[in-house]
Amino acid sequence: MDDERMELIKGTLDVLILRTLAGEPMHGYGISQWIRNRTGDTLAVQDAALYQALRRLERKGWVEAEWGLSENNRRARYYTLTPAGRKRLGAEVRAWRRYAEAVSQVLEPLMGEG
Amino acid sequence: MAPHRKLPRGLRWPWRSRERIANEVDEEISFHLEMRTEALIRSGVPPREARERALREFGDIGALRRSLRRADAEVERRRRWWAWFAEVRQDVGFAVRSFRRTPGFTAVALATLALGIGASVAIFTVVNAIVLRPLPYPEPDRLVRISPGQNFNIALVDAIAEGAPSLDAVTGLSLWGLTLTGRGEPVQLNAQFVDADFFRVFGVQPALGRPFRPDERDPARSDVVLLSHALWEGRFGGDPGIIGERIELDGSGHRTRRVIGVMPADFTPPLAPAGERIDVWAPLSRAPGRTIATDSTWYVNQVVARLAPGATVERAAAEVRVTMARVRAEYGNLIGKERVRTAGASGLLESMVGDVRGTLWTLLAAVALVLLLACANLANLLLARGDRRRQELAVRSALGAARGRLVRALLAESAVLALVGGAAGLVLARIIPAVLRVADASGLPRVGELGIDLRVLGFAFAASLASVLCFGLLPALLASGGNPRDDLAGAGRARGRTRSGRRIGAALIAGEVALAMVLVTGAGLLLSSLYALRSVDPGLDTSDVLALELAPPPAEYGGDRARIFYDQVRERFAALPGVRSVGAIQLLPFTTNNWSFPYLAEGHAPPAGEPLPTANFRVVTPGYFDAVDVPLLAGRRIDERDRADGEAVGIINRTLAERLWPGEDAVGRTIRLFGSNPFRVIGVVGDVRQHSLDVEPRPEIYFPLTQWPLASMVVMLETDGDPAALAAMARRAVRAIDDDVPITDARPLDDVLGQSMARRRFFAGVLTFFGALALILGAVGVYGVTAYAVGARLPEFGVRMALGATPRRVLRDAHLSGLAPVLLGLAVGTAGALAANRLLTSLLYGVGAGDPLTLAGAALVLGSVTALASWLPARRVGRVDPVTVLRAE
Repeated sequence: MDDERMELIKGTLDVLILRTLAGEPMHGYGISQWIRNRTGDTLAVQDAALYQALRRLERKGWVEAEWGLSENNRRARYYTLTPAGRKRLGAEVRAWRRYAEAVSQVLEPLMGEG
Repeated sequence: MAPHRKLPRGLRWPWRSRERIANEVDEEISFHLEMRTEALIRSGVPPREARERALREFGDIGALRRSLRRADAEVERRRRWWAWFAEVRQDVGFAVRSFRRTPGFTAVALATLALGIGASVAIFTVVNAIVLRPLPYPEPDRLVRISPGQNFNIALVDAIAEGAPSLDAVTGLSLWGLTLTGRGEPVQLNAQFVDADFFRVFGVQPALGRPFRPDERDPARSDVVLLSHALWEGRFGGDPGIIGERIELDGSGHRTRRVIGVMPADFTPPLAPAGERIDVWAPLSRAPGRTIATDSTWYVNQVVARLAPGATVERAAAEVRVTMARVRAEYGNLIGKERVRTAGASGLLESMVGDVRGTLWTLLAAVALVLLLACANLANLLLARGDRRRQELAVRSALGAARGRLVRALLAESAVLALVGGAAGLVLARIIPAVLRVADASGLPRVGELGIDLRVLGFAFAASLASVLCFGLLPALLASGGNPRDDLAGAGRARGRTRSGRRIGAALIAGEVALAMVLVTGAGLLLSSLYALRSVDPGLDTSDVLALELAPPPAEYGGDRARIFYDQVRERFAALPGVRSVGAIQLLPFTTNNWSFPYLAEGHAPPAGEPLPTANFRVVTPGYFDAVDVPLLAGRRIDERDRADGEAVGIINRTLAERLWPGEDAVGRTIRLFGSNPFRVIGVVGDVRQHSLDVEPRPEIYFPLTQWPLASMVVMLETDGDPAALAAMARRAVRAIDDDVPITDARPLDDVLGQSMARRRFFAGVLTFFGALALILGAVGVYGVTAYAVGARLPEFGVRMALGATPRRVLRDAHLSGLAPVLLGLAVGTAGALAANRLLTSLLYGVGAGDPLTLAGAALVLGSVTALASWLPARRVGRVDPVTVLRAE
């Protein structure tokens, strides 16, 4: 049971990163901040796990890394979504929606009663 | 939070080193930590606490650092591979397209390469099968052959097996013919007679049935036989029911034999004569209770043993020698001192191929020269092609292609050529041995095992790659090294090769001619040797003679019965139509078989401190010297007067007579054989080259069969016409006397003589083939270079003719400029031939390695062929119209 939840979290992290990068290229710290701000710290992601996930996505060819200059003029490693990554994000989002719809269809009667 | 600004291109190195990757990982992590710490401080957290919190949020930094480095290095590696692969694919695609555009060039280049690689691989296949490939038996390093090779009897083999504890299992091997009847056409089968230990020695078990048992050596039980897989399938339809049946397999003491099994299909019969198969295996048999002295089975040809684990060949050899010395001490004269001296053991493979190994490597070196020649030709073709394409390369280089990349693109073209050529060469390599008839007529050991295996494939691949470097690198460097601006400026104009390019072309031609010179002289020397050998007088007349080898069972044909049998044979044969004379001798001439014994002549003292001299020992019947036309020089021939109970007599050859009594009459004197049995010399005959044409005659003594009864003899029939046609009739005549007498062979004596030169002929044939190939390749090279040079110099010639030079004069210049490197090549080649042909010394006969006549002949042939090859394209110059040429300029 525990393992399955871990797996889900790991997959979720990947999708979250892809979503983060959908707008523009970002460095690792930026991604971490973005997730922290958007989820209001409910998804406590260890930064080490975030970087592991980035390398995983890079190996799969969904993101690309390149050095650039940050807003305060320091060298930083920027991650960009590749076309393949964008496609993957679309697929993941669709899958999430279907999942969410299915779950809500199951739960709706209960909600009506409530 | 998009990057503020990308770093300028120049700062980014295309590939990152391991160290750089490590630094970048550290930088990324510390950037993150610093940013987070600053953010926390901004939100009011005290600095020290902020730093600690950032670290806590981050997790295990050490582990992350290691795993990120690993991941980045992996990505980097993969990226490099892909980039490299993509570029190579691009290069190869480009090469294939450019070859398609020039089909003529491609065809010539491929044909040249295929010939060069094909010939190399073909010879390597032979070297591999004979020398390199281990014997096809388990743990082949433990197999040894016991020497001397011949005249063992079974009891002696047993004595050696007992006397040498280093030998785990020992088997005698003997080859006989058996006649299979009662199932379709009667056929003569090749039978290998072996001991029960044969199966342990060679690590084999019958595929069906069982091996021989030790008790099947008893003549009463030895009527069993194992079939070869091919015979079982072909003759017995692969019927397993045959096991346990009796078949009519006549000879060697039994009329019928019971089939007890079938050998595996992939079993290679050990020590089978070149080009012959083994059909059946039967047990060697000897009557129980016989000792070495009374055992008459002296026909065991070979003794092979398997070393005990950990035993060495040297120790086994020493044990065999000691055993032989002990047997000699025990049985007196039975075993010659010489046999004890030469007794020993040697690795089986070494004993089979030791004498041809050097020659085969020489052939491989020769074929490497052919390949080198092919490469030189290709280099030249590519150089010329590179000149024509200089403009294209200049454009590519101007557009930003690095020189390294251009070199690689050009090398890729060569690699494509080499691999396609190599594949075609492999196909050729399968055909060439068949054309050279390696398997049937070469007289080489193990050629039955010829085939293409992984090692041959590896060699073909390596030869192809080596060729790429040989013929591709230089042209690629030259073609890409020009100054692009000049080449671009020359656009649209036919430009000549640069000065250095032309010089390299000339050097290649000189090199090609030199290589061809070495090969052609080598071939010439071997052909001269063969010719010289053919004109050697063997001392007997082989023409129109049929040699019939009869092997009656010695047990039944001992003593006087041997004489009676051969009297009958002679009588019957003489009555056959077309037979002029008949006689027999115990050993076939021109084979490796020889018996020789010590002798001491009257009036001569035994040499002090040395063994007695030896002479060849031959036993003949009346009529032998007539049948093969050995001339009688003094006294009389052996005839019916020489009876078993009469005075012991013998005939000596001229060499022995001259050695013993120079200038005197030998007839009437006495000689002691083995130093004890005296006989009287009744005649002197001419010398015969018993061993082979290239071995000088040795002292020789002929004895009458009546006084030295032997069962196995070779009967010579001198005929009016075709001796081969008589074979069937002669066989019937023998069967009419006793159909239990195996006829082991019946073939014209001419063939026997020819076979003795087979190996020599094979080597001469192969080298001649290479020489011809070299000649053609050299001529093609000279033609190509001259044609190209003439084409490039046409404007110059046009100008000269416009200024008044005669066409003839210009033609001569064009021709001579092509010939200069040829002359240089001939000179270098002569020096090379003098050095290289020393390798051939062991194959030469009647000519020296530096034979001036052969050298001059080769130079003449090569010179005229190349002169023709350079004259053909030079002719174009004479027909040139100056106006057209100048206008084109």
